[in-house]
Amino acid sequence: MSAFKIMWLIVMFDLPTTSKKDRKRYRWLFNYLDKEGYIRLQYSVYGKVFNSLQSANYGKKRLKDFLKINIKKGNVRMFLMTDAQFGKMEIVVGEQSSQEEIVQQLLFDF
Amino acid sequence: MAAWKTIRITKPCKLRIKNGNLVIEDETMRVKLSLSDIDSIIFEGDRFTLSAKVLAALSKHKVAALFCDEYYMPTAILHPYHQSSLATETLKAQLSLPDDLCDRFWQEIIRVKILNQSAVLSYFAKEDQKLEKYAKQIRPGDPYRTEAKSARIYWKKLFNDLKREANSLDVRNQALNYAYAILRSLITRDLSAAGFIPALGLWHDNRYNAFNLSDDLMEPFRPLVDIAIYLLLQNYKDDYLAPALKRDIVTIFDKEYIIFEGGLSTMRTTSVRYIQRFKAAILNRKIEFINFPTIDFEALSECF
Repeated sequence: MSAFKIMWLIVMFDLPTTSKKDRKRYRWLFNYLDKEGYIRLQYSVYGKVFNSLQSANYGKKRLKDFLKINIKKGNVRMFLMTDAQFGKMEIVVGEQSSQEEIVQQLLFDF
Repeated sequence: MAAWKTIRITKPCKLRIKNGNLVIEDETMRVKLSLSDIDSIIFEGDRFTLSAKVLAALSKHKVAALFCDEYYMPTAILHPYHQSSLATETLKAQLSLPDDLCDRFWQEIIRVKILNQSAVLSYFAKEDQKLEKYAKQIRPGDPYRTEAKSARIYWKKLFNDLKREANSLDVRNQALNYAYAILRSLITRDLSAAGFIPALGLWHDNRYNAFNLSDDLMEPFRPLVDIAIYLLLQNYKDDYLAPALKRDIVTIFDKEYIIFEGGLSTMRTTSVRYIQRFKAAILNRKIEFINFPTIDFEALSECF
């Protein structure tokens, strides 16, 4: 229908939470993701919708810059997928959150 | 990052800002929306609460906000200012615009509007030779009121004997007014984001109207809205503005049937670029910089 291609940026992370400093850095990442508008798909798996590949790459770059400065230990990985690919994801147990459906709609009625 | 989302608030709910995101919640549901994704927001319900911080955040992110009255017709828009880094320069250029250039701008705007109107009529096989004649006749500043003459023919032909009124109970008028109000809020948002004062118009000079310039610049878009409304109304038999119809009206701004600068796009994206072209024309004092939208009829038939 419309020319823009919805992209999902998925971020998955494992961060150490043993020391107090580690937990602080964990909070930083959590707050950053929240502020940028990422939504939680599962624990430690976050996703954000972008309306084009360009803006997705830009969002990725910003996240990388943040990680480079603030996160030293642990394991963070991310990947991009189209909305069609995301839609093919199977949810075997449990169900999709309402938040996930809402973020991709062009018009959102409340 | 370009914003692309439209939000309509119809149910009782609470809006607030949390950690830079817009949070909408009621007893059962809680949604988080990123402000940078939101392009416009329509407050339609009458029992929602929102804080001043929400309004400030909406203006900061250049969201076109539209507030409705008890009849669910738009009455107010949020008009932020100081958004453009070149605001003063643009403002000076706008204020010192010579009258003859204003008249030339108005001539171009009306010429394109009449041509668009005539294109709309010929799409429905209701064409009138007079409109094209008027488009040729038009002089700078439109001293012979060609616009009014063509509008009379246009409305009579398009809808059978429709009288355009502001507070009409006719569903056609209501649908048009509703769509125009959204269009007006988009244009006003883009104007103030570009550093213009929407109160000072090119031709519209109503001292009770705070959006004279928006009314000037939205003229070429009106026929584009009309054609969409006409096609939408064919699916609805009610004689009042049904909620489903209203929902459809909001979506016409995201349909791709506009040709602007050689490419196909939506009204939402066109309006931003159109205002930027207008800004370039104002700053350079050259009418050639401006570009106008037209309809792609092939794409239109796919959209509706």
